[in-house]
Amino acid sequence: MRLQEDLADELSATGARGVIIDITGVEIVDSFIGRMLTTIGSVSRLFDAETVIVGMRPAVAITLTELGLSLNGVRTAMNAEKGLEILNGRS
Amino acid sequence: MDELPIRSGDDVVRVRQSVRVAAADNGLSLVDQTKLVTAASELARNTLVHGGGGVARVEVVKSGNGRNGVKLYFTDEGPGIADLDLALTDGWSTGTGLGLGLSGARRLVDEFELTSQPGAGTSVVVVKWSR
Repeated sequence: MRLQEDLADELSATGARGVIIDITGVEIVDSFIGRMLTTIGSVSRLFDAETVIVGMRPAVAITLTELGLSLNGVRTAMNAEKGLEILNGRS
Repeated sequence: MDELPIRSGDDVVRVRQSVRVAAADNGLSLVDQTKLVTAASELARNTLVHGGGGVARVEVVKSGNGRNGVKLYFTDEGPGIADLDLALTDGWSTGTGLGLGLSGARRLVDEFELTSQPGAGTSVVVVKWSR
């Protein structure tokens, strides 16, 4: 998948320690998209980078829980600012 | 009533959009819209990946006590499912997926009916009612 390849290239080139994925504009997360997000987390971890997903809509969060999806290996935060705090180790 | 082909990933997106419009127009709350669209996405992808493609139908229905609902049909003529109980088990998967498609979709809707036989295709009918 294109995003994953770009991400791996970017992590390798920059040595970034964190990845923030903003899903504010995402109306649904099904198991297909959920798997994409956890794969991004796995790829990032191979480059010693932590992944934080931010901006999840309340309706999406409720639906994800009922669907049974747990997004293993990625952290979540309310917004990009909180996500950065996590990556900077302040919370 | 809309009948939509499911032959590609783009078709899955179109099914989601059509379900979203029907759900919003019929008074489903934002959370219920999201649940139904997510279930539709899982089921449409099953039709595509496991059924080799098929058809989705979106229908507006009314209950005995006057509530509006959205009813969705997903039909394919693929290989079918031999063990329906197993297919509805969390985490069970034939492919590389997470095994949450059918079982997860069932939890997101109010009514769920799965009909299938080996060699005779698969049909899933779901309903979500407004509250």
